[in-house]
Amino acid sequence: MSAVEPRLLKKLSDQVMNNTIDRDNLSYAFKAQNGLNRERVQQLWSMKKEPEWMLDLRLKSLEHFERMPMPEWGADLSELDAQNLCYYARPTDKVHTSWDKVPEAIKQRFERLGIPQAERRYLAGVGAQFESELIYKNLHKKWVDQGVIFSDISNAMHEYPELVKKYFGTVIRASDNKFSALNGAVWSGGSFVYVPHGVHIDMPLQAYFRINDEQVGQFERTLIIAEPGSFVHYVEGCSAPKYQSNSLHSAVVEVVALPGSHVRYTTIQNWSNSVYNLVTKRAIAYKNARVEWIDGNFGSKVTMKYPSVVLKESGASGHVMSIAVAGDTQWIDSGAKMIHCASNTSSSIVSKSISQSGGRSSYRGLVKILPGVQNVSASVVCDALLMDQDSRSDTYPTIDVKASENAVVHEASVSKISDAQKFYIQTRAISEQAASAMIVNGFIDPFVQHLPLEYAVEINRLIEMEMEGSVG
Amino acid sequence: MSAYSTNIYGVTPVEVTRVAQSDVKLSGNPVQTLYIPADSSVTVLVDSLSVRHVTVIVEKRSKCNIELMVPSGGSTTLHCKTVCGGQDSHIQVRCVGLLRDKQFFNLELEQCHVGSNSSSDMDVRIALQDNSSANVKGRIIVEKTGHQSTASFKNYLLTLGSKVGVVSQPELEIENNDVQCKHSAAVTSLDKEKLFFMSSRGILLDKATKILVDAFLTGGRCD
Amino acid sequence: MIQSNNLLTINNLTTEVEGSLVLKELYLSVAPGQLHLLLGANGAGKSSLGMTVMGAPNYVVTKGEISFCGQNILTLSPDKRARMGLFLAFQFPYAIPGVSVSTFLREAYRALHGDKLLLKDYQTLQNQALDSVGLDLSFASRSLNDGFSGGERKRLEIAQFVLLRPKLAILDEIDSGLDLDAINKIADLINLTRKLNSEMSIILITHSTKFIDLLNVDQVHLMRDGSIIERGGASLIKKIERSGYE
Repeated sequence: MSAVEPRLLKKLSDQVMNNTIDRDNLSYAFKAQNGLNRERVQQLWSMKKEPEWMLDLRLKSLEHFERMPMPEWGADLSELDAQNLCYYARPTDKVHTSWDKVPEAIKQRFERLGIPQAERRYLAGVGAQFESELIYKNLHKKWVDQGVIFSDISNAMHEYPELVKKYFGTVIRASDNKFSALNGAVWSGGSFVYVPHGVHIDMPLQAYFRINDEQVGQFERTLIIAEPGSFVHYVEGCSAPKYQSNSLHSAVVEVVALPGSHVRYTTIQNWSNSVYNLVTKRAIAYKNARVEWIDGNFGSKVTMKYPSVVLKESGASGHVMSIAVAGDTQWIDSGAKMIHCASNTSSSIVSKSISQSGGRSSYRGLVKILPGVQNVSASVVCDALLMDQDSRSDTYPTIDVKASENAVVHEASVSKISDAQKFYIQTRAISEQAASAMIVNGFIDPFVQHLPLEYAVEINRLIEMEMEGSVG
Repeated sequence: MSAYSTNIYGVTPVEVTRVAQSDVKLSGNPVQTLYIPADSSVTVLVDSLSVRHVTVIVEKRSKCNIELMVPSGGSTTLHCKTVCGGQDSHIQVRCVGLLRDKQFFNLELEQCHVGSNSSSDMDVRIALQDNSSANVKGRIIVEKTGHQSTASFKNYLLTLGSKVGVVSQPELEIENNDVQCKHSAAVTSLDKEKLFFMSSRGILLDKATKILVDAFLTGGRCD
Repeated sequence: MIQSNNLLTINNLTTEVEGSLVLKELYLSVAPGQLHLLLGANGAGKSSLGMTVMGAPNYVVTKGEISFCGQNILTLSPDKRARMGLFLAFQFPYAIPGVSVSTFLREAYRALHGDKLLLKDYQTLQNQALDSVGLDLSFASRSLNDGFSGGERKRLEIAQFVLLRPKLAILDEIDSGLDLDAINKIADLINLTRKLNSEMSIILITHSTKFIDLLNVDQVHLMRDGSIIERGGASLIKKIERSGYE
């Protein structure tokens, strides 16, 4: 029995995201000293020229962060040294709206990723963040004219203060967990998306995040507000070069899906193996609103991420489609949470994971139905593929139901690529490696179906290329 | 009765009962450890009103069927750990019953595969009425040595009243890839259409409910 | 008897699956252009022969040899055997969720015949193959065998036989699950394919006399307990029909 090439699927998105060992050479407009304390937070606040209420919020968050212990469950965070990170680095002095004006080194990085070209052809708007700040943001005039806002929170706080103040921190409080507290203290960058009543943005909004320098932490904060009856598809991708020392990506994403709105949030995460990726993502879905989290986890040393939807009013629905590919030295602990606060709500979670070359992938999830809630339909499907003897797969779901007249179903399975399936494909003259690639592509197909076309094609092609190099 | 003081497959027995055949009922002593030697076939009945921790270790080529009784009253906790220690060992665990009044049942199952080619099946079906509640946790662990193992865990909870509460946690920790492991859990209520169908044939609601609950407990799904 | 112009030669083949003997000292030779019928009760080893020739995992050859087109194939992986022109229509074809029928067929065609055809010409061939077995073109976008009925899976196996044009095809109970109309259609298809490709050989495994009657059989082999116990021409069929497999 042959072994499949190590790092097989990890490399796939290395190419999608054009991850290379090299760091982009550029000088920074500003870079803070390492370490985290009240002074640094205040310095950050004053550099960004934010209102008083934001300083309060940042400082209170810092207190929570310092007070709360590290979580005792989940992936191993023992090597994370929070004090030895730079919490703010700004490569340029302003946000550009034209690629020509962006510094050459940064522009090249994004061109290699195909971002400017994609923007011309497939996207409604693009935002690009390098280290702690946005360097580029552009929204097609068509959407600007309809009142759509695609910016970052810092900017939005100056131009639309009431809007930001109304929703910021209402979905995820600083005290929610240690890392949302950290984000509350030092957040910078991220996206602010506002979609007015009834507007359907029919092309995706793309945001791209890159950690470039060593030991820089990235703490973007994203807030999406979808007014009643609106639709938006937001796609984010991220990458970082590989270093000896670790860095941290601790983001917070809040989505407010007002009645009748539809928000789809896609993430293709491919941080290198030196990044701790600890993210809190939550949506509140109001009456008849629909929220979808499409979550692709390919990179990072450790990921802990559980996109959730609070189904607050009747008719709301929440959906998570997540895949995790954990390779050598990686531990991806991911999943989803659905909280049913109202009757007549529904949710579905589909989680597919692949563990190979000693990687570890865990599913952690929660489906909760509060007392008195009825007529909920919830389903969870977790399938895991273990590619070899060195890897590991875990599943830790919880179903917590305090009411009746509901239906919650959960199915999970763990296995390897079936010999019988491989044989069947081989009898059609297809090599063993190509057969494995075909099966793996089929396994992640439900996820790939939800991706914008160019990512989907790229991922399939890269899995095939990977399998070609394997030993027979 | 032989006593084993050494560590068997990661289980340090306090006092072990060696059983080679036929039926055994475990009750009285709250901590019970059973060792089933090679080439045996044993059926075990566990009285959950008295037993708190039961561990069953099954050696190669042996079979063990374990029936955990659902307690008839009060607040109970039962931990049941089963180990397919030897090659070709098979374990089946069942826990089927009804909880009523203010009963609380905390059931923790752990099925561990150490021996290769072993198979296990855990089946928990509990119906809850009145103010009863249950926490059911079932973990399947496959060690690196457990290749070609097959394991499954089914956990079905039927809620028969708005004041019941359940928490279900079916878990998997798998370290060998040449295995087939799955679990399936569901928390459901009685199918209103089926109830209506029966009442349209003149069957009273109480009786119809009982029929569906019995069907659920014996293996059908009535959601 | 070893003939150098044989397409397939099997000598003294003994095979085990998980320690149990499934084929015992089996001898079989198939010349180009012939249709051989493999009969026998369930468990006689007919499917095992097909699986062994294709190189299924778990089927361990402990004795004997198999040569195809003059080459020993026992050391070759299944895909290499297929590339030489061997084909097996499975008795129980596997489902591969997430892989569409069209992707699968296209890759299989490509592996055998390369990329010479224009996409639209290939598309025509594929559609013709699906149509010839009575499968709606919508099957092309469905997940391979996922949720297909037994009969639909069989039809897809035959569609692959038609599309891929192998040198030697082992057809394992492709008639089961199909109604009389479909059996007629499949028999016509086989006869037509044989006419268009006169060097192609078939080893047919079936229990259906109606199906056999529609085809031109060159040789008949009766299997029992892993070996071939009786051999003959088409006239052997009537004899076996009368007295059964014993």
